[in-house]
Amino acid sequence: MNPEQILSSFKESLGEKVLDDRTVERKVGTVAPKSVYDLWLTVDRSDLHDAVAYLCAEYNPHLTVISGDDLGDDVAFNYHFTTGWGERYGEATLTIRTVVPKNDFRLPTICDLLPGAQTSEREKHEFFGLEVEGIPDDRNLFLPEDMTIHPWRKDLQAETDKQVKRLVKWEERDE
Amino acid sequence: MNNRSIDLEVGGSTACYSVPVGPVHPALKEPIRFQFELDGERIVGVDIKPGFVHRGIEYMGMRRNLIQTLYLAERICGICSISHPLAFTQAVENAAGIEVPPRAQYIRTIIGELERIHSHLLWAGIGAHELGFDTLLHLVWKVREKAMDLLEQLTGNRVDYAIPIFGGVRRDIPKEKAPLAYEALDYYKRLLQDLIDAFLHDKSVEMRTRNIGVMTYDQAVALCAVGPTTRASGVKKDVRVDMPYLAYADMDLHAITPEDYGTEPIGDVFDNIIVRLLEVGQAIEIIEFCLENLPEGELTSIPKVPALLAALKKASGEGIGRHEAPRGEVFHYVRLEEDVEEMAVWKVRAPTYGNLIGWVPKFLGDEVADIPIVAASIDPCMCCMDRVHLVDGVGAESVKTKTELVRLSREKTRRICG
Amino acid sequence: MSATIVHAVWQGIVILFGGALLGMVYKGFDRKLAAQMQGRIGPPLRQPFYDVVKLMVKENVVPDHAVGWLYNLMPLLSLAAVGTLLFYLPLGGFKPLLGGYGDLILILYLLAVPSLAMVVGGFAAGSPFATVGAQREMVMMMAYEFPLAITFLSIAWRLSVVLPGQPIFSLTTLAANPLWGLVGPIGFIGLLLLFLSLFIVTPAELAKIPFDIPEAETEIAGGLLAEYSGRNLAMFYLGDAIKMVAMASLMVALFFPYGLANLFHVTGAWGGLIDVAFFLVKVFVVIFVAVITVRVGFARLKVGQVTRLFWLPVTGVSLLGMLLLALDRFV
Repeated sequence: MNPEQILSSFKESLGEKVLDDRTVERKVGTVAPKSVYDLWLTVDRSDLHDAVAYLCAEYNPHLTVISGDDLGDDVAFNYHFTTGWGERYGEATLTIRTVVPKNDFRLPTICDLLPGAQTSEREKHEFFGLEVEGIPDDRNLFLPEDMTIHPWRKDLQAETDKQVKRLVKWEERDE
Repeated sequence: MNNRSIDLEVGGSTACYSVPVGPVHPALKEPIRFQFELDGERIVGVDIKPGFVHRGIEYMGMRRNLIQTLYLAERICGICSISHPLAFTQAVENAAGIEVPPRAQYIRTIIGELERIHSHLLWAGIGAHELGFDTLLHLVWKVREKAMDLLEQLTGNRVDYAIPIFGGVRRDIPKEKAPLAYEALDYYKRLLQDLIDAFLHDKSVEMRTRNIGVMTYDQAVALCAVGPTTRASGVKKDVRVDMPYLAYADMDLHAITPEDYGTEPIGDVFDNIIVRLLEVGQAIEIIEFCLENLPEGELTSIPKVPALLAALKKASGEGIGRHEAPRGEVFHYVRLEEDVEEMAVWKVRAPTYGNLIGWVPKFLGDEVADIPIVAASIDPCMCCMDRVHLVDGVGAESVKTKTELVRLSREKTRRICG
Repeated sequence: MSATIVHAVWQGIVILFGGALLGMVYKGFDRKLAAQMQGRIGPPLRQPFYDVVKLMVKENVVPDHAVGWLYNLMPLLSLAAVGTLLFYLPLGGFKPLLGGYGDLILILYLLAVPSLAMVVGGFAAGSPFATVGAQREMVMMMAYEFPLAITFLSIAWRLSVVLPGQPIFSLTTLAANPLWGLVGPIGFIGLLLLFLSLFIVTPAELAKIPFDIPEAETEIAGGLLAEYSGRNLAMFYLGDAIKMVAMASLMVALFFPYGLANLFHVTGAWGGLIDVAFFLVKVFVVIFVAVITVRVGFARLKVGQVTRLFWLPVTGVSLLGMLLLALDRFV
């Protein structure tokens, strides 16, 4: 399975919507090294649903997790997919990255395309305060139900720190 | 276009009462709360609330340098304790471009597979206990002790082995220790068939696990389940095969499904037992391969820790690390920034996180009596899954120094001993 | 007259205490032997005594939602029923204490009372786990009572054919005339089948694995007994121990009431002692085979599977036994 094919087919189908793409090739194996690939793709927030729909239609992906990166004024969300499982050396990771501004903090859900995304989206909702439009269930998952803080937001750290209980003082570094 | 919506509700009857299971319950080895809607003995609805072992690991990890975070990553879980360092070191090595010598790769694989053996045997004992079959629990855990002894002889610890470091491993498996390993492997090879007989040929176990907790192939794919849970449904997802790494890249492995035992995969608890017991056999073969083909060479590419820390500080980039833990795919994502010691982003995804929503179709339609064994069938590891904060709901910040904590605990001991 | 009453009261007290003591000794053996079979060391033989003493000293918690008087009455009722049961059984080769005042039918009812007491206690406890456990115990009782009744009635009826005119439901008669020697070969097989079905009913009656569904530890956190603690739990525990002795003695009385003393022509006090010792050994063997080995060898079954098991195969076996016993009369 050729990873270049994946990225070029994305570019063909989505055209201008693909803002940035990158292929990282690594060698594994000590006896007869072979290549494995990590693919990175950036799309705009409004095209996210289309990109994931295209992925689900063509490539039968597996969603690992959604990770978030607080960049200051906006937050970048990385949707970590993998595609091509089932065959030896057939899988490649494909991360679709989208940047969301904090003053308009919402994203469409992909639970209609991939029901397994629910856990990740709920986690982003509670840890970042992201509003996921159309999610079937938006209660807090890991944090207590009445919790209102968003621990992963770097600009809301003061609020978070007020509610954190530290058991041990660590070398004055946890202030 | 595939229709990816799956039925997460059981229709046709009204729930009579609701039974909470957890966070403290004899069926659960770790805290998690289920709320079951029951119609007599039949389960018609389930609500899952995790988060009781939330400890703030990613929060802490992003405020420490990478080697301190490595120790933290190991302690995310006790049973799958090397899975997180293996994935984490992979992620950082991919981000920073650090190479791992071949001998280190093989040693990492050996310890990883030994952990798989002990974890699957632990699960088998727990499964037997949930069924009320305490005899199997005690016998299987007695058998498991051999793997724990071997791990202690090789690494110095029964859990949390502290073997991987960025760029290699910290301890060697010298030639003198190889006979110990071979002895333990022979022990397991002899016992494997007895284990399979005890679990798979026992009528009462079969009565309790066949067609219980079923997750079909389509459900497993749509819900992105991982590990033996999804392989029991026939989905051939295995990171060691699909995207090989470490010594797995030199071996010809295949994902184990119930078809290897000769039966059609249904995705019930019985299939889960088949997959995990056969994986113990596969792990034994992998360890033997690694011991026989252990390449010579150095243990780590950057031996001096200050040099390593300097190299990591200078590095920038993103990296993904994946490992097939005993419970499924463990995933770490790391983003490093130049001239910053801490990581910018660290995302941990434990296998139980992915299997969490898979619990819902497994429970629906079964009976109350099946709750423990179905809950145990995905081999849940809540401490891997919950990670972040230790929060005091009242809001008061309470900082205690280490000396104060020790003093408090000694006081309490004195109080109890009277 | 008053002397006989005093004598009877003394005997009653001895039987009660002896039964309780024996029950706990056998329970100790049960735990030790089961542990050895599982590759463990196990608790010391005195452990059940420690357990009862500890439970007696602990706080007796009555939940807020519980029906207080029922909740506290049921353990007493259970213990009283089982204790009374002992008075109607021929223990140690002696005649039952209240032999003339109750027979096999009464025993059948008395056997059901402790389970019913646990059911009512479970419902009265007001916890969802206890409710589920109580429902399961009710369903299980409906399952195993049938083969139990068939076995008792078949034996009594067959004896009535062989010994017309005697009070055939009386335990004294039953113990004095074991059927093995009084029936032909077909009857022998029938009797064997009845023995087998009673064997399977015994762990269900005593709620041991694979039939300990009402008290399933991992499923419903102790089920029926989830809310009980302290003295109440100690009484249920004692009741369970005595019931084990009672059930095993019943089985011995129906199928193996033979004594050793007659065999060796020893009479008097020594003969009595030998008979008592032999009785204890027989009871231990029954408990070992029917309770301990079964407990270690199986997983717990589900309540639906248990009902199906008892209503179809086990009832079938006991009905077949009854049929063969009946046929034997005409052969």
